[in-house]
Amino acid sequence: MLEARFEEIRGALVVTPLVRRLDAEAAPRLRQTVGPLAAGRSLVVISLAHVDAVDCSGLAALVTVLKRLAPGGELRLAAANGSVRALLAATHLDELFPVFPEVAGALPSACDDTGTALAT
Amino acid sequence: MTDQEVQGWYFTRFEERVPAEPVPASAARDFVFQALAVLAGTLGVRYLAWRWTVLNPDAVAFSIVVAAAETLAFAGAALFFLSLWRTEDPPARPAPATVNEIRDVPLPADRPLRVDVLITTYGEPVELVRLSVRDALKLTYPHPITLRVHVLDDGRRPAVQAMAREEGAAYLTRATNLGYKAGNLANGLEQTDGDLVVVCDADTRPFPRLLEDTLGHFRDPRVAWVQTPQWFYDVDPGTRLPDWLAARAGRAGRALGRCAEALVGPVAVGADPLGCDPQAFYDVVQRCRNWCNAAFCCGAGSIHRREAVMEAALKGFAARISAETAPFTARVPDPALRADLAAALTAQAARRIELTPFKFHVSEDIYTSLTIHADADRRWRSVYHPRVLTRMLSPQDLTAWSIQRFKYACGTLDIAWRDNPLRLRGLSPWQKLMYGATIYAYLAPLWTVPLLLAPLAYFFAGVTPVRSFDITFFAHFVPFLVATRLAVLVRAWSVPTWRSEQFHLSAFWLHLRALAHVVARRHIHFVVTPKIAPGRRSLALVSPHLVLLAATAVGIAYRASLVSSDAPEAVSAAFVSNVFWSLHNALCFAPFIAAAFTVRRRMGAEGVAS
Repeated sequence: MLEARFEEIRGALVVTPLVRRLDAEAAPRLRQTVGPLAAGRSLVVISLAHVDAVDCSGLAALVTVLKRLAPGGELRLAAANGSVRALLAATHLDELFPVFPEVAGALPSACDDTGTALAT
Repeated sequence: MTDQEVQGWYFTRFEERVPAEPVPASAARDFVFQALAVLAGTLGVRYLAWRWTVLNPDAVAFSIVVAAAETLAFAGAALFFLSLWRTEDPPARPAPATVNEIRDVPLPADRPLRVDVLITTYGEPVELVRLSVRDALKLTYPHPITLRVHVLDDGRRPAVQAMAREEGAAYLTRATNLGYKAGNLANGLEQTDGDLVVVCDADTRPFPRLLEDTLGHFRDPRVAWVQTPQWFYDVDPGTRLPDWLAARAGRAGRALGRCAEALVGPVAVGADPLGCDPQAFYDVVQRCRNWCNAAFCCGAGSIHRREAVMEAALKGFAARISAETAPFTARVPDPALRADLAAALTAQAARRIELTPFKFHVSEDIYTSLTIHADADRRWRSVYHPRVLTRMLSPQDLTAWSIQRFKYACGTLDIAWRDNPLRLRGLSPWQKLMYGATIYAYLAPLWTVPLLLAPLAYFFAGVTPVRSFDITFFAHFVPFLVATRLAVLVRAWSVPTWRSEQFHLSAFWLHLRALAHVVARRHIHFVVTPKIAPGRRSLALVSPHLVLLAATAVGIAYRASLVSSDAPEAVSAAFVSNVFWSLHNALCFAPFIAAAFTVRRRMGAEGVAS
């Protein structure tokens, strides 16, 4: 079980991993925990506010999560720091994972913005 | 392992065998080889330059085909010699104590290394896999280390699961067999988290020092993988020449054998009857690729840095996505619209395309190596570690051998077709040469087939590819031949190469089929190399050879009836030359044909190999 906060905001699943590193160690748990919750969704936002570093295994786990979304679904990253952006650029995956400065910007614009906590 | 437990396997009697230490690298031997290679190259150019001026005017087309075949063969030899230019072993470095000693960017909290041993299996006998699991669990390390052994079973067999539990290993399986072995490894990587990953086949049995001896290489954060030699410990070692001669001619024989060995290095008679010993490939070919960072991964017995494997996988994934979407987005002139379309298409393609840490390809190992070497942003390094640190079983009959070689040939040619290394910008010129030499070797039928058929044209039609087989011909050809043989002898000192040369020539038909297969762009089926043979005769594999030999015999008889004893010297020289060349070919085919007629040993007691 990956330590993370899960919220449902305007139809989007917002996942905030509460770990410092999304790396090889966290990757299997990220797949197991987030994968089933993300299945069939059209928008999943991963907030990296607590994450200092992502490695290629962590990124590969995000690809696995993305593959489970509904057709046309999108996986967005929020609050990614410079090193994460650099990794995305180096692996040429920046087009696949749109990056937003904060979670709010990654969500669809709508008047209803009350979040519902699902699990912690 | 008690004697009781390994009894019943045919390889039990090899259990105590220890691998030979590699001959120490020597600058002097390198120099002698280089001098001989330059000599052979010069004599070869001299021969060919002359050769093209003496085409037979009575059979121009035939002469040109044979001369072209000889030129292609010479180019192959030149490439081969260049690829063997230098031997340079990696310096030994102490085993790292913690993960930060192998990382470029250290972790905030350092910790012991984590190593996953991944043992892939599909249909191999459970008890055979058990031997590999046990040996993997006996790996030693001078520092605290987190070692986990995982059995990756694509056969989804409860018996394998039970065995893994009994031995204390993890058991991983998946719902499909997508991507075969590469897919199985990908699944294993997804479910594990070691910093380093050891890749083993079902029959790969590591020696305890595997990690101790190799992990030091990872202190260089650019090292992506370390390959160790694959040692088939069940290959018949044969009888050393002095002993063999002593049994036949007593003390005089032994003395003669010793003299011969002093001249050409150790010789074993009857060794490796199935031509599957890869020692020449590892001890000579791979070892000579180390200095220019071109040693490639061969699967079993390799250790990988997880981050390198995953990074290459992600980059390959992104490249395939962009290759799919680019043709469509390129047609949209408006930048904003293009970006939107690209995003939509990218997401769609990402669903379909597999993220593959090891390429889903028949030659996944060499293909993955090529991709990682060619990554211009990272400059990953590979290390070939010359000491044997694992043992495994050899293919058990000619059918198994042929399946494996056909797979290698198709896979390598297919890589050349899709991702020609000569066009990959991230490779250095020497790396291109090394990969190029490997690919070129699989084009061999283009010259071996014409050269094998040339004597038949002479026997039946009386045509020769040169104006005459006179003294000038031999004066040009023989020095080149002698220099070439000497160069090979020095380069491969104490490593037998004759058997692999025989089997390489005998593989002309198999390689020709592989070439046709790839050129016709037919789908290459993945066949698991059978390690455990039921013992089959494989006449179909040698029928082209038998036909060729029969035709040669008839041809010799026919031509002999025409060449009278008082024929002019040129006529008899042509006859003798062609007979000599045919005998050479027959001698090369002989062990290959014998292998097809040999029904090999069975696995062992039925109860064990069920």
